[in-house]
Amino acid sequence: MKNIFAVLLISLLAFSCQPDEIPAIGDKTDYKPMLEGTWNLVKFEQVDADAESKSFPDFATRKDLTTVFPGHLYTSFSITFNADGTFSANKGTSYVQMMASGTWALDDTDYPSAIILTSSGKTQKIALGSLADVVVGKVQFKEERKQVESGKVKIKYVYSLTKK
Amino acid sequence: MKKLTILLIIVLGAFGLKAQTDVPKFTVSPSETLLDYDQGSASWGSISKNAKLDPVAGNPNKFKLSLPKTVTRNGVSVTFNNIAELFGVGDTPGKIKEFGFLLRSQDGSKQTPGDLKTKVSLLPLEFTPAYFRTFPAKVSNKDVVTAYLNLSLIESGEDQKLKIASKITATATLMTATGTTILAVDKIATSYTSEKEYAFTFLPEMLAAFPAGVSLKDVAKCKIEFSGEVSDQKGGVTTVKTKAFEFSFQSYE
Repeated sequence: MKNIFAVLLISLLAFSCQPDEIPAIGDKTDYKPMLEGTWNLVKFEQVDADAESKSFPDFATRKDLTTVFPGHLYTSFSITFNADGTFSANKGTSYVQMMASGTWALDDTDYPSAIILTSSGKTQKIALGSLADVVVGKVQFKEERKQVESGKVKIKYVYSLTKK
Repeated sequence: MKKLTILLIIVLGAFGLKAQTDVPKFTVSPSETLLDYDQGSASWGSISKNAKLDPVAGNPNKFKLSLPKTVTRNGVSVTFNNIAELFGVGDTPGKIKEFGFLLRSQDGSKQTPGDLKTKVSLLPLEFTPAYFRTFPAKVSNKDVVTAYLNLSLIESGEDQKLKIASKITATATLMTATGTTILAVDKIATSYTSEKEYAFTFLPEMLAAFPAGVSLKDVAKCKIEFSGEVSDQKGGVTTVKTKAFEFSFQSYE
C-alpha cells in the first residue's frame, strides 16, 4: 500500500512540473507607419568621434549647431515621409544636406537601423538612432563622416526631430 | 661591392608632463624607445640591434618599423603592441604628444638630423587647452568648422597687446593644395565662450561665393587670423593681429 501511494505521489509531482507555456510576446512593431508624417528638426549637433572615444570634456566633444548660423537656423528644416513611399524635404534656410524629394524605405522592416532615400537613381542612407521614442513622436537621424583611407568614423551629426 | 649599411632607428617621443599646480603647465622631455637599449639607459655608443629597421621588399631604399614587434630585451622576450608600449608608457598613452625618427648606422658614423627634426604630432589622448584649435579637431571641407582662440594661452612670439584687445574678429582664407588663395572673408564676428575662448563657426561652402571655375573640390587648406582693437591713452585705436593659423582639410566620405 505504501508503494502504491509513493508511485501516485511521484506521478503527481512529475505531471505538476510541466513547463508553463511561454505566452505570446505580441506582434512585431511596424515602424513604417510610425515614421510616416512630417518631422521638424529641433536640434542639430556635431560630434568629434575621436574626442568622444577619448572622453574629452563635453565642450571639446560635442557642439550644438542648431542656431549657430543666424538667419540659417537648422530648425527651419523638416521632412515628410508619405504612406505611399514618397518623401519631401524642406531645408528652409538651413544648410542641411539632404535629398529634396524621392522615395523612402527602411533598410530592414523588422529591425530598421536606417532610412534609405532614393532620388534620380541616387541613394542617401540616414542612420536611425533609438526608435524607442518614435511612438511619442521623437526620432534621431545620425550622419557619419568617415575617413576615406581607414573607414573610421571621424565626425557625427545628430538630427533630433519631433513629429508635427 | 655594394657596402651594406645597417640602419638603426632611434624613435624619440616627447612627453608632456603636467606640473602639480592648479594651472596646467607643460614641459617636453624627449625619450628613446625601449628598442634602442637592452637594459639600463639608452646609450649612443651601445645601440641595440633590436632597433634595426626591417627592409621593404622590392624597395632597396625603404625600411620600416612595424607593430606589434617582438624582441628580446635583457634575455626576455617582449612584444610591443603600440607606440605607447614602445616608450614604456602603455598604461598612460596620453603622455605621448609627438614622436620623431633619427636614422643612424649602428656604429654611429652616419645619422640623420636629430632633435625631433622629423617629428610627427599625435592627436592627444587627453584634452589639452591650446592657443588655437578647431572643432572638430580634424575636418573636411564639407563640414561645419568652429575656430577657437584662447588668449590666456597666448604664445610668446605674439603681440601681447592681444590680451587686452577688444572687438576680436577673424579673417578666414580658403586655399588650394598649393596655397593659392581661393577666397578670403574678413571681419567675421566672434563670440566669447564659457571656456573663455573667442570662437566663430563657418561652413567653407557658405563662407562666400566661389570665383568662377573654382569649386569646393579645390579647397584643400584654410588659414585663419584673429585681430582686435587696442585703445591708447590719446584715444587712438590700434589693430593687433594674431599669426596665421593654417590647417588642411581631411578627406571624409
